[in-house]
Amino acid sequence: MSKDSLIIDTEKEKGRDKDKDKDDISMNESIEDQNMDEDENEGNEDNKKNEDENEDIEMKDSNENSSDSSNSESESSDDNDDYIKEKDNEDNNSNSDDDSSISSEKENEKDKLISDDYDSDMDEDKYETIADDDYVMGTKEFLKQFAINSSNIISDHFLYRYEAIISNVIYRHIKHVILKHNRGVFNQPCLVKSLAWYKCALIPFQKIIWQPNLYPENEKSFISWNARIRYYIYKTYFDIRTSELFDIIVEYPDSKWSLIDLKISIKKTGLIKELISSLNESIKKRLLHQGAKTSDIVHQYISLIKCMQILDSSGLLLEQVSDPIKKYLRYREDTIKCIVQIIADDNNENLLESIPKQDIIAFDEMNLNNYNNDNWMPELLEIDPANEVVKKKSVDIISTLLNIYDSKDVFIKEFQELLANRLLALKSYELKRELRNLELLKLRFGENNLQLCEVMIKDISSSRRIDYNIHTETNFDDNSNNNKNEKDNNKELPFHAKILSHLFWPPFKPNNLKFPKEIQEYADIYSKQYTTLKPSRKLQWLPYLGYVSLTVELEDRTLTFNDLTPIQAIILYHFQEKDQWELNELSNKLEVTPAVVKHGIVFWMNKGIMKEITKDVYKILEKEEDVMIEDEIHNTVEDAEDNIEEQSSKGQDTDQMRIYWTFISNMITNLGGMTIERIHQMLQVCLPNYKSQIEQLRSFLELMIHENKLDLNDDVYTIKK
Amino acid sequence: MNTTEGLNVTKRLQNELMQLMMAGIPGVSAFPESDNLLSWVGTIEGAPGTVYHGLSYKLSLKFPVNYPYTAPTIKFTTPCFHPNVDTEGNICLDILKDKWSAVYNVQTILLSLQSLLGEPNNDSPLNTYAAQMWNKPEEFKKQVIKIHNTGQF
Repeated sequence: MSKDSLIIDTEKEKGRDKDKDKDDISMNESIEDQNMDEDENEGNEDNKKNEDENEDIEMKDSNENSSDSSNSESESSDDNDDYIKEKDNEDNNSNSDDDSSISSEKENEKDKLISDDYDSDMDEDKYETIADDDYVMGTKEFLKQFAINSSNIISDHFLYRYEAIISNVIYRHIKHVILKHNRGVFNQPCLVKSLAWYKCALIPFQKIIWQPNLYPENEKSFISWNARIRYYIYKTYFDIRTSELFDIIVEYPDSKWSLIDLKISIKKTGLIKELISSLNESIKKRLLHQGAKTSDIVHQYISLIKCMQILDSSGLLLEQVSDPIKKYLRYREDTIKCIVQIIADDNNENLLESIPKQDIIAFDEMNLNNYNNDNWMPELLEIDPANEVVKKKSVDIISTLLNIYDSKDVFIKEFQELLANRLLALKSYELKRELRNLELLKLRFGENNLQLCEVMIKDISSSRRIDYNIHTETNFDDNSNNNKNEKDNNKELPFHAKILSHLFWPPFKPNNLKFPKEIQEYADIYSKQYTTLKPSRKLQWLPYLGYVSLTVELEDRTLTFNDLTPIQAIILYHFQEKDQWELNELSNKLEVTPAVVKHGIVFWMNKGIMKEITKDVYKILEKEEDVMIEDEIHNTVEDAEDNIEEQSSKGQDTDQMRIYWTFISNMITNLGGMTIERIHQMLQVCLPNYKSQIEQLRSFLELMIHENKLDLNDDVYTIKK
Repeated sequence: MNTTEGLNVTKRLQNELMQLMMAGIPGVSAFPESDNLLSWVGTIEGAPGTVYHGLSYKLSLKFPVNYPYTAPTIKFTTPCFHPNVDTEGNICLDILKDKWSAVYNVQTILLSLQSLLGEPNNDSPLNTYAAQMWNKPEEFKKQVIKIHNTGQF
């Protein structure tokens, strides 16, 4: 900066001297002309060293032109064109010069700028730029020459006439530079660099043109021009960042810097509405279409929320752009699943923990009563800190996500299912993580809504205690089993159980799978022990859930498997009995559908342990063979299983009603016979979660009558004794 | 009624109901009587090995607005021949009077009452006739059954 301003300063001094000379003389054109001539002469002397003749001639031409036109108001269009060309040339020259310098400058600035505090209320005056010495030396002469040329323009009041042209050229140049260097660069502060460049390159240039120190009457124009150019820089930034906004959101958090740049440029330009419509457009075009995966949309939505929070912490901006996404996500069936998975995912822990300590308010909820959309104005981006309504209500991502739906029930139901799956998948009784998640969710949804989940977690933790108890208490001598060998006596029970409270878990698919005989014996011992611990309870085994670890000993190899599903283990177990099985035979034996059996067999075939010898007849491979892995079978079997799953899910509606059975039976026991309306009403009063229709209740009560638990006389239900 | 208190007690009673239902203790049960959760009906069955075995007694439980800081009012609605229960069904049980604490709940009350049936406190009888007769189980049982079945003292 200093060197640049040196040049200007010398000009200034000259200017001042001359000003002194003519202080007492009233300003008029002729005197100015005189002064200019002097300037020109001085300039020419200087130039002789460096300038080639061509330029001299050109200069003289322009001088002639200018004096011509100053004398006669009528202007020839040719002259004008010539002039523009000349001006363009000069500008281009300076452009290339500037360009080359910018990159080197940037390098120098980079360290300095990044270490600087680059906050949103950036004061660009803080960023003084140290210009490169060589660059300054190189351009010094050029600038000098340019100053002389431009002084001619000023002398004839041309500047006012050509102002538009000059600014256009400058604008074009600014745009070119900004686009060239900053398009697609999101991970560093760019705006501040452009402003620094503006300060060190463009301001001196403008000073040369306007000579504000020389001609005080130009001062005003200089300032307003400066302001316009500065605005143009912000506007250019706004334009490119707005057009790139979708990519910026995709790349968040790496693109944080560009968001800050954008925020500053919005503040300076006030073009918030353009931003909203452009962002809405690109979201619609690029995100909300058939090809996008729901999980991607949800992830993008989260990024969008975070990005909009940077741009506008009040959440009002987000409200303007999130509507189409919310509407679209509502149509997708798997949205809630995605959301629940994202929330419960360990990688996103910070999401759950990000609950603000106070004012957990989704931005929809603080619903903008005070801010009618029609009156919504851009200055909301600079929210008055005294405005208590908006202050402090930071946007909470999870609540915002869940606001896609009108009620939280959907989420809670889905979470319950996820939790059930995760608890069942646990290899131990380690609950720390699930407990933490549940506690965090409780903060949001209240304990009542998550009561079922709590029961599920409690089940697992008491299972640990009970299981430990049973394992230490079990003495095989007492439960003497005839078939047991001596060596089994000191053995522990070969499994651990998770004891689930009936009706508090999501309904399981009905399945007839049974334990193999040996395991069933252990299970019986377990049940017996359990009943002594809890006299009023009974165990009902669910053999198809859980995991099995097996060591498979074949003639030539021994393989160990963890994480087998029970069906896989049981299928292999049956191959102990005989070497080969026909598919239907085995499926009859196991009382499960052939599709399920086949699925299990394909698993063993892929492990090289079984082989299909003829169609639907499978044999165990005691000796290793090269086996073709039959992916096709795999796929078709999976399809078949999907169908089965779909069919079985239909019967789950009444199953869910069973959870209310304890309530209904207690109610009728204590209050005497009741009509269905009364039962319905009481359930609504006593159970905040009760959401069933009276028709569902009716069909459930009919089922209970069918199961001999209820009687119905004259519309009054009583307990069957 | 103070609304916040009303809400708190409703919430607390809803939770207690949920707990009670989940616990599934054999022989005792209770349920709110109407939309108003402050009034419940309870049922306890005489424990095996006591003179009350095989009989079931209905109770009325009235919760004050500042429950659980104040004990609920509990009465037998089925006439009960017992040293600590008077002819109106009022009960003399320390935890329902001066020993009440907010940690007690419907479940503990019902279990206490169930055990009170088998183990009366004969030092502070409400029904002195019953207290005197307690030592003659045969006679006592006859009286219990008679009063239970006729519903009259």
